[in-house]
Amino acid sequence: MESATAVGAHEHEHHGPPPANQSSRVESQFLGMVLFIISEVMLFGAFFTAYFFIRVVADDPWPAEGMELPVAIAGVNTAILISSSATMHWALESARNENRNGLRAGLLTTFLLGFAFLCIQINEYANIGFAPADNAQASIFYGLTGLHGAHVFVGLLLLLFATTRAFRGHFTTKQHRGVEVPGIYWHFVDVMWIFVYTTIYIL
Amino acid sequence: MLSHASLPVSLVSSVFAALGSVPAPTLVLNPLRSEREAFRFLIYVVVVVGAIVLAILLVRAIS
Repeated sequence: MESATAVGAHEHEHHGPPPANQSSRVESQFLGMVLFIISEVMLFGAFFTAYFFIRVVADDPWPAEGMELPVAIAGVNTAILISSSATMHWALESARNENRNGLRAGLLTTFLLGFAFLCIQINEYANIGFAPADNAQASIFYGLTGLHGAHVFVGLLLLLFATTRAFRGHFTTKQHRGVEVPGIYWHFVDVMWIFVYTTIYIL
Repeated sequence: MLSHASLPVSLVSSVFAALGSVPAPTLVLNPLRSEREAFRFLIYVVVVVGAIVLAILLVRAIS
């Protein structure tokens, strides 16, 4: 009798629509990013398949005759991107340790490093000396590096949101999902670049 | 004496320590579980891919 009264009182206190059903233990924002990254791995896989088809199945030379890839500049870009992952991790650790200045500095530095990466890549495209339509190798080069560049651009947008929110004081030691999710995405973009740089520029 | 298996682990741990964090050991590394594990996975990829590339370039230079 008492429990029925308590339930009735509880129902009386509730306003608005009923809470959304959660069938998973994983938060929806987190699950969305995980599924997105899994689909992105498959997308990159398709481009890498085209690359290996040219090099292994068709046995074409890489890079094509007359093409010269700026390995050193891309190496500097690689260092910039790996550094940006370290600053991203530092930002999140600062958020966990109540270091608000560290969080802001880390996110801002990550954003600037990512922006520098993108600017260097655009400059590389402007001076590389061949176009995507020249041959299959050039198409794959622009396809893979351009796909990755698009992901860096999306990552920069996520970082811009996170940095703006950090400067507005939005994140706490317990509530920092808005930094963690872009962080996972940013590390994924870096891992992809390691493979892109290795296969396209070095090997 | 440092074994081969513990070499990447100690390297990753030192990177984490330099950045002010000590990650909790997990049985299986899942880079999609948390940012910490994603960063740890990135360091592993850098170390392993770097070693493979060095080995390939070395073999190419010799042959």
